[in-house]
Amino acid sequence: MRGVLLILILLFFSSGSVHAEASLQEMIDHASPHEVITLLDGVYQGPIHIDKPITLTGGSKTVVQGNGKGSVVTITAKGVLLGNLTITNSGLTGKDSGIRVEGDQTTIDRVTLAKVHNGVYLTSKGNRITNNMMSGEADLPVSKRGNGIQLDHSGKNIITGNRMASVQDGIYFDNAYDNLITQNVITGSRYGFHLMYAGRNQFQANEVNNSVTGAMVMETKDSVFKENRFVKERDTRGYGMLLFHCQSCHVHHNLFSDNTHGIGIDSVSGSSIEANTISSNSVGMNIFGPLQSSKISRNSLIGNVQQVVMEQNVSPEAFSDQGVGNYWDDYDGLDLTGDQIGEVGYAGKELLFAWVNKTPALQILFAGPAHSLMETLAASRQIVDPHPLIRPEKEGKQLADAGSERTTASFNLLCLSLLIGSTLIYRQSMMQGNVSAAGRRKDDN
Amino acid sequence: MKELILFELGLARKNRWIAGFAGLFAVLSALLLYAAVYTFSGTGHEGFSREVSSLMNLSLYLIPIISLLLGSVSVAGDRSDGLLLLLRSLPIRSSAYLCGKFTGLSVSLTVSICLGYGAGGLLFSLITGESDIVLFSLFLLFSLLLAYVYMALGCLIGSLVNSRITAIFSSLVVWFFSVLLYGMLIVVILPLIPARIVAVSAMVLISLNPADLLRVVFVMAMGDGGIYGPLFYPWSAGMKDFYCFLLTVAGILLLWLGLPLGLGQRFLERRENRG
Repeated sequence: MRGVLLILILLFFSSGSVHAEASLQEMIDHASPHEVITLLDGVYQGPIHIDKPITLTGGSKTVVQGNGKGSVVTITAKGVLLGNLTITNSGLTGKDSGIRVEGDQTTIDRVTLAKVHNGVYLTSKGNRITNNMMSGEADLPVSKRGNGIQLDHSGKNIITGNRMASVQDGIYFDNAYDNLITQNVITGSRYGFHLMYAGRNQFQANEVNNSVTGAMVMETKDSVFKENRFVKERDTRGYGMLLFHCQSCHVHHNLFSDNTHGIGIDSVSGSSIEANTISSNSVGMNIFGPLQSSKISRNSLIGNVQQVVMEQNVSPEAFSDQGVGNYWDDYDGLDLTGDQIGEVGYAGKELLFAWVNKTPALQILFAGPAHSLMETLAASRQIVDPHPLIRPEKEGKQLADAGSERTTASFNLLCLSLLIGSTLIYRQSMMQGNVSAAGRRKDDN
Repeated sequence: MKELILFELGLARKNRWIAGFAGLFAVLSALLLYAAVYTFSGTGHEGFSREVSSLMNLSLYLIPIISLLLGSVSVAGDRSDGLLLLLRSLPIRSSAYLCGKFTGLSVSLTVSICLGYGAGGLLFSLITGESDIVLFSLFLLFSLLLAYVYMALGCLIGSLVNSRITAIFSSLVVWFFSVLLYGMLIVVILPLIPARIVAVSAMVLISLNPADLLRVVFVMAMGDGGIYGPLFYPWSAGMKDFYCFLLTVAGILLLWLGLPLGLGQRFLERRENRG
């Protein structure tokens, strides 16, 4: 809807009212440092280059339009503030961006980015990127899209309250350290967060949904993920979160729900996966590689078709922290001592996946009757969690939406028509069938 | 043939089993919606949770055995009761007999499934004010297709055997093989196939068994084909396309109704000619 509105606005203004007076670049060139330039509604032709600390703001219909080459806005000065603008029409390859930030301490607030390759491309430090909207081209294959926000050797940024849709990666961290990322919502993209050589970043209360993978965390150190929601990542190769070669990463109190795979872990050390709710995924947890001095504890695994798949033998001790394990809703042991911890370890059901490792095509049997029968009959099972919790750590519903609205009217209509339709057929058959069946009834007697 | 269908419907109306199945389906559909809406997912459902998977398996266990038994016992019963002899004295062809039989039984089972699903669904949505129309419709279609396909197989069994008891026994064997044993056979066979053609072979093997084929096709149509891994990505992408899905369903019906009924008719005819 917003996209349509934007196009309408663009059409309206491109039909004549391009500002003819001083060009935007001239206005910037003539401004003195720390001046506030307030733009009127209308289309301003870019690209522009800001090389002094000014404030550039607009109204609700202010558009800065690029020429389809390179970046639309390039900032090289320290302390620039950009607010309340729409930025559009950048080049479509490589580092072409809506806003390219090379100056430190830039603030970008309430900017709408459309028809750009990357949204905001940061190579400087200490920036605040807040409350912006960025939508990519949903029709383009992900490989041709740009990223929402890209941090290229950029650090100490605060990135809060941004909304991104249909981009390649929501926020891409390339050698990015000491950033705070909160309350962003990323949807319909490849990876929500893509970390590649990053550290000391903190993620809190973000949501990634309907993408390939929520957070792709690779070669990352000393980072914290808490209270984020990674939901509905239903791509074949999709994960709520995938940790690969990570050190000292702490993932706690997040929700991983309705994904193909909840959370995947490959070669982590000194990390903790704690008190997350991992629910209704096809596979709750995949563990591919060794967990060195890492702990997986107090998580709630609920309603996953397959709770856990371990492709390498992981010591069961990784699944508990000081004798406290995880909650598995299909655990059938007993708590005899009343300490809320089961006395018998939780055994995984991994028969099929052991075969799938050798013959991937066998996954076609997943969750079918034969599969469930085989898992039930399996003679020996590996203990996964030696100290399973009897009750979930906390109610995962706290993280849930207030409740999605559903229309029941059409549903009720369908049910009613099923009832009425079948009753009609039944009555019809009774009237006509009585005649034919009469002969048969005699035979029966 | 119309008379045959109506005759069959008249019989089915008196069959208490069919009324019982309606009750069973009502419980099943209410459970399904409960699982879909109140699954502990935190996002208000959508995904393929364990509850949805269990209910799908429950349907996969129950509906084939119900349909197989109804179909085979009915046809075999006609022979042992001498009704087939009676019909042969009339100008009725064995193909018309079998089609009438199949249609009549299918209509009555459809009525019972629709009644059950309708009642269960309506009750649930009236009480809770929640629903999931796409999942519900797909599940209804899934159940109906399962019922038709195994009904046709039941008719085939019925035309092969001589007595009700053999029909029941054969139905059980076919059910056990198709629903449970076949998957285990795939586990044995697939690792022996060269890796180059293993994905295609898996698809062919799955397609040869209606229970597995319907299971896979419907999970994919629900948009959850991801659970089968990247190897089957093209297949599951295809099933998400509405027309592709419709075409597949039509193909399944054509093959799995046409083949058993055609064979059944030939067996009946051969027996008639012989005896």
